[in-house]
Amino acid sequence: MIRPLRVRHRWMITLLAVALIALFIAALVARKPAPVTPRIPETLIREGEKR
Amino acid sequence: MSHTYTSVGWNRQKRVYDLVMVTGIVMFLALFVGLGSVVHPNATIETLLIRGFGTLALLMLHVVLIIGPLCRLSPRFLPLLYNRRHLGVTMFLMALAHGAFAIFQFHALGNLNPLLSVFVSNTRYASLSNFPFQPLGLFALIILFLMAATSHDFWLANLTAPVWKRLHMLVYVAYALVVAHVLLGVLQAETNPILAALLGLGMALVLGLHLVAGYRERRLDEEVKPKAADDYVDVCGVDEIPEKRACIATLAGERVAVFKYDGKVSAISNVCQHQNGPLGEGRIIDGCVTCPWHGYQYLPESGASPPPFTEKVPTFNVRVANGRVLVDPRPNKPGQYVEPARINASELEQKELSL
Repeated sequence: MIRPLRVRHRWMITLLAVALIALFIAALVARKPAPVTPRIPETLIREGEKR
Repeated sequence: MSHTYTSVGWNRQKRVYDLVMVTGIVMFLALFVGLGSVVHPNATIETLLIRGFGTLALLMLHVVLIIGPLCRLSPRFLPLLYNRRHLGVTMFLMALAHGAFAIFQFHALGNLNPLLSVFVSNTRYASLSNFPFQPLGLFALIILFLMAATSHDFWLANLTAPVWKRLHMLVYVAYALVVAHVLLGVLQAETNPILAALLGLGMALVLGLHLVAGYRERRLDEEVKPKAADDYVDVCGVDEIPEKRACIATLAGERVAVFKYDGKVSAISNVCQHQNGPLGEGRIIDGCVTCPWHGYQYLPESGASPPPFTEKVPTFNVRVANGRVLVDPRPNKPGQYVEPARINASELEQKELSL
């Protein structure tokens, strides 16, 4: 008897479609731009020079 | 089971398939690392390999997942199904290489156990943009390992097809984990819209094809009910069944395949004993119903595989009246011989005249 398995398979795919589409949208919305530092802070430059 | 079956199917066709696959993998990785080192000159070879193996495994997982629904939608894609196991196991090996390299690169050089480090190095579970995505990949890898390790007829025979199929349905959980791993991992750092669009396209293909195939299957699963408890069910017209092929109907909770051959009609369960393939979508070759998935064979009158093979499927009593095929929805024991219904001469003449 594999009809119940087929029914479960269809439910699983439907749930997966809803969950993954929601996650896809949420993850893209949550993205933050990579921080850009206009110039290296003086303290780091000085530390580098010391080394 | 076909006469040419061997426990490890390294026939010429599979060797050629594997050779093409390995060549494709080497070319993909060479191209990925080569182009990657040009586009990102500061990236190390380790980073490029981790990303290369990961991208390849993701691509292969998508291909593995769309083969099933493609075959349900068109028999032209059935040859792809024949070698899907090799593709699946190779995909796991690519994912394993990605995972092993990543764990070594990012977790093996501290004072913590690398596997423990995967779980405790980032605990920002409340943040979507900083979510600990690596455990998701590790869980997916464990599922893929279970599937790859049981991708052999030894496990199929010992676990039985329904249990084995349940286990292998975990691939959808693995797919969800992998997509989440990519979305919450690399796609949080790499904001190039092409990467997100490619993943979206892959998801649309996998989910869309499964939904369309599932909708078609649902219509096939609608049950034909008898008028009385002991009634035969009118399944289809004799002339609706092509010679040496079948029509499929759902009776008493399961699909039945009604085959027409040599002026006779026989009905057997539609479910192959090997991987539960759809026997009614196969055809009669050398007097045997032949499963379209892997070529397992059954005699249409008895539902038993020809000797020396031992697989058996249930048979159904069948008769032909007024050009219609009538089937008793109560199944006989697997392998029980049932006299085929004869398509009488006048019906055959009528059919020939109408042609």
